[in-house]
Amino acid sequence: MKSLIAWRWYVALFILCAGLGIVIGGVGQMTIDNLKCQSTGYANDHFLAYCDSQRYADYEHGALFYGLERSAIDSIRRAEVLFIGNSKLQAAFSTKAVRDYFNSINVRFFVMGFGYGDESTFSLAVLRKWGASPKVLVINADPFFSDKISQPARDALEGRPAFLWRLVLKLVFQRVHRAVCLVGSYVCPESDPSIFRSARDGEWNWIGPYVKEKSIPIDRPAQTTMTPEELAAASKLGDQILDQIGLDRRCVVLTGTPNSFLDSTGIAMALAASLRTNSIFPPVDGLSTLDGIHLNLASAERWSGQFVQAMTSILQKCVSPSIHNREGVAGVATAN
Amino acid sequence: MLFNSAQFIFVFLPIVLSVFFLLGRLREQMLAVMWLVIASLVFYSSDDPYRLLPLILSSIAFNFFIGRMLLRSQSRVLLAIGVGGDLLLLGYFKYAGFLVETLNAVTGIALQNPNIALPIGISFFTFTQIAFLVDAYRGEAREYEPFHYTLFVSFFPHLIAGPIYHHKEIMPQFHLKENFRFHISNFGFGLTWFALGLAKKTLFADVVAQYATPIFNAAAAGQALGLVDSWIGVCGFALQLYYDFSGYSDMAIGLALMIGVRLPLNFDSPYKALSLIDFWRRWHMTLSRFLRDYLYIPLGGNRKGPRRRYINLLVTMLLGGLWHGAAWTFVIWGAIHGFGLVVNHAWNKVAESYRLSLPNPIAWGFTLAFVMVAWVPFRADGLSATFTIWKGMFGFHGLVPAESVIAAQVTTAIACIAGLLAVALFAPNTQQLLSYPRVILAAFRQPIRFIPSPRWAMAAGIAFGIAVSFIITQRPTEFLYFRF
Repeated sequence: MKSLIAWRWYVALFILCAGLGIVIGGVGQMTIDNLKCQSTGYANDHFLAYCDSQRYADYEHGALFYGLERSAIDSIRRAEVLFIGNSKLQAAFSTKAVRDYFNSINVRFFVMGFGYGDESTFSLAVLRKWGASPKVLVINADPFFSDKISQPARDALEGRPAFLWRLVLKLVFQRVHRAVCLVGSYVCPESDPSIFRSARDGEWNWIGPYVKEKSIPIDRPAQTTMTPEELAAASKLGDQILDQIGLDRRCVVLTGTPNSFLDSTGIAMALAASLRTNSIFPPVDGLSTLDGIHLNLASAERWSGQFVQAMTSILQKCVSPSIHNREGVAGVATAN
Repeated sequence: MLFNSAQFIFVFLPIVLSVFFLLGRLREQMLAVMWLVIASLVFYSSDDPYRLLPLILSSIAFNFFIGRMLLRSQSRVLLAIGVGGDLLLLGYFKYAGFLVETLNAVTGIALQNPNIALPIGISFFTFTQIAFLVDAYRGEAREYEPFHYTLFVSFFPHLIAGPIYHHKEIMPQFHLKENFRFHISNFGFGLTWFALGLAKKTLFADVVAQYATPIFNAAAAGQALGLVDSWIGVCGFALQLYYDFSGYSDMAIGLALMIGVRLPLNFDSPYKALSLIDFWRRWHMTLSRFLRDYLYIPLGGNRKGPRRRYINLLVTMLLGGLWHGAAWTFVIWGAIHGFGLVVNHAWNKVAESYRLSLPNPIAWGFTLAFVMVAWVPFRADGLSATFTIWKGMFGFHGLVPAESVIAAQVTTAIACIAGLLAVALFAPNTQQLLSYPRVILAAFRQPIRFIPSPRWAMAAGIAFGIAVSFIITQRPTEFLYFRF
C-alpha cells in the first residue's frame, strides 16, 4: 500500500515536472536560438514585434490576434483613430510627428499596420476580435482591400497548437531576453535585425534596430498601378468591408504612401472616389525611401506631419468639434 | 508515426492506453488484444496506409499459416517455403534496386532500376517472423490465435525498429491477465524508461547530429576533409547512432512496460566494450542474438573447427551488414566487423595459449577506434565518401584544411562530443539506472538504484519535459534505424 502511494505521488510529480520542463526547455531553447535579436528597443510599452532569426521571426501577428500584449489590445480598443495597412503604413506613420500631433489634441490613436504585405483580411480579423470601434479609420489603400493573406497571418488565424505554443514562448522569451541582456550585455551580440512595437500607439521602432536610415529619392513617378478590373474588385470588397465596419464614410480616410514602385496615390485616389470616402495626399516634395518602398524616417516625419494636420477637419467632424487646426494644410479631398 | 512526435505522445498513446485498460477492466481481454492490433496497425501505416497495410497484413497472414502448418508437421520444405517467401519479400523491396545497379555495373547492361521505396520496418517484422517460423519448425513455439499472432508481429513499441524478439518470450505475456489491468507502478516505471529514451534521442542524438551530418555531407560532395573535421564527424555519428537507437529501444521498452510487457534489452553500454566480441554482446543485442541463433549456429557455428568458424563469422557479419541496407558500404561495414571478429577470436586463442592479455585501457581504446573507423562506411553516402573520410581520419588532408566544414563550431563540437562520450563511457546505462527486474510488478519492491522518489520524479519529469519542448518547437527527427 505504501508503495502504491509512492508510485501515485511519483507519477503525479513526474507529470507536474514534465510540464515545468516543457516551459523551461522551450524558453531556454528560444533564448539560446534568439539571443542575437536586438534588445535595445525594449521599453515598458515596447515589445519585440519581429526578429530576423528563423526561430523568432514574426510575433506581432499572433500577439495582437491572441491578445498576448494586453496593453496593445487595450490601446486598439480605445483608439479613436486607427491606422490600418501594411508595412508601408507602419513606415510612414511611425513618427514623432504623428505622436506629438495626437498628444497635442488629446486623441487616442493606434497604428495597426502589419508586415509581410498583409492586407484587409487579417487587420479586420483583429479589429473584429477585439471589438475596436474607432471614430476615424485611416487606410493605406494601395489597395488594402484584398483577400491576400501572409503566412504569419494564416498561422495566427489557424491557431494550431504548435503555433500557439511558440507564441507563448516568444512572449516569455522577451522577458528573459531583456533581463539577460540587461545584466550580461556581453552575451548579447545584438546582431539580428529586429522591430519593436509600441503597445501604446502601435508605432514601430525599426530605424536602427532593423534597418539603417537611408535615403533613396523618389525622383520619378511610380510606374506600377492596378488594372481597372483589379480596382473594381478591390472597390467591391472595400464596399463590403466598410459596410461591415459601419463607420460613416466621411470618417474613413484613404491614402497611399509615396514610394518609387507602386502608384499608391493613384490607386487610393480611385478607391476613395469609388467608395465615397475621404482621402488625404499631402503634397510634400523631396521625399526619400529606405528601399524604394518604405519612406525613410526623415521623409516619414515630414509627410505624416502634413498628413495629420490635414486630418484636423475630419477629426472635428468625427471625434470632437473642439479639436482645432494648428496650421492650415492643403491636400484634403472631401467626401463625396 | 514517430515515438518522438507530439501526435504520438499526446494523442495516440493516451487513447491507446485508456481504451486498452478500460477493456481490460471490463475483462474483455480478446477485445483489448484486438484494440492493440488495430492501434499498432494505425501506428505503422498512418503515413501510407494503402501501401503499408496490405503489405504487413499479407506478410502476417502468410507467416501465420505457414507457422501453423509447421507446428503440426515440422517439414523442412514448409520451412524453406516460409523463409524463402519472407526473404523474397524483403529482397524485392530492399535489394531489387541494389541488384539491378550491381548487375548493370558488372555486366555493362542497362537494366532499369525499379526504384522501389523501402517500406518502413520491413527488415524488423520479416526477421521477427523468420525467427517464429524457425521456432515453430523446432517445436519451440505454441499455436496462438490469429489476433495474438498479429499482435506479436505488429506490437507498436517494437514494430518499426525492434527490439527483435522471440515468439516464446513475448506471447505468454499477452496472456497474463495482470497485464490487462492498469498498474500505476508499471505505468510509472515505463514512463521513466520512455522519458530517458526520449531525452537520449532529442537532447543527445539530435544535438550531436548537427556536427556529424555536415561533415558526411561534405564528404559526399567530394570535399577533402582534415583530420579534425573527420574525427569530429565520425565520433559525432558514433554517438548520434548510439543515443538515437538506444534511445529508441528505451522508449520501446518503456512503452511495453506501461502495459506490463517486458521486451528484451537491446544495448548495454557498447562503447565500454573491451573487445569486438564484447562490443557485439552490447550493441543491438537482439539482432546479434538473431544472427547467432538463426544464421551463425545453423551454419555450423564453432562446431566444425576454427577455420569453418571464421568463415561462418565472416558470412554472418557480411549478411548482417547487408541486412542494414542494400549498398556496398554496408557490405564493407559487415566485412570489417567480420574480419575484426575473426582476428579477435584468433587473438583470444593465442592469448589463452601464451597467457597474454592487453591492459584494459589499451583493449578499450583499440576496440573503440576500430568501431569508429568501421562506422564510416555505415554512414557515408557511397564508397568515395567513405574513402574521403578515412583519408581525413588518417591525416592525408592535413590537420585542418583551408575549408573546414564546421570551422566556426569546432570548439563547441569537441565539447559536445567529449561530454556525450563521457556519459556513454562513465555513466550507468538505462537498465543500470532503472533496473530491469524479471517481474515488473515487483519493481518497486526490489529497487537497485531507481526508486519512485520525488527526486527521481523531478529529474525524469524535467528531462521528459525539456525533450518534449524540443519536439514541439522543432520538427521531430526520424530515428536512424527506421531506414533499415
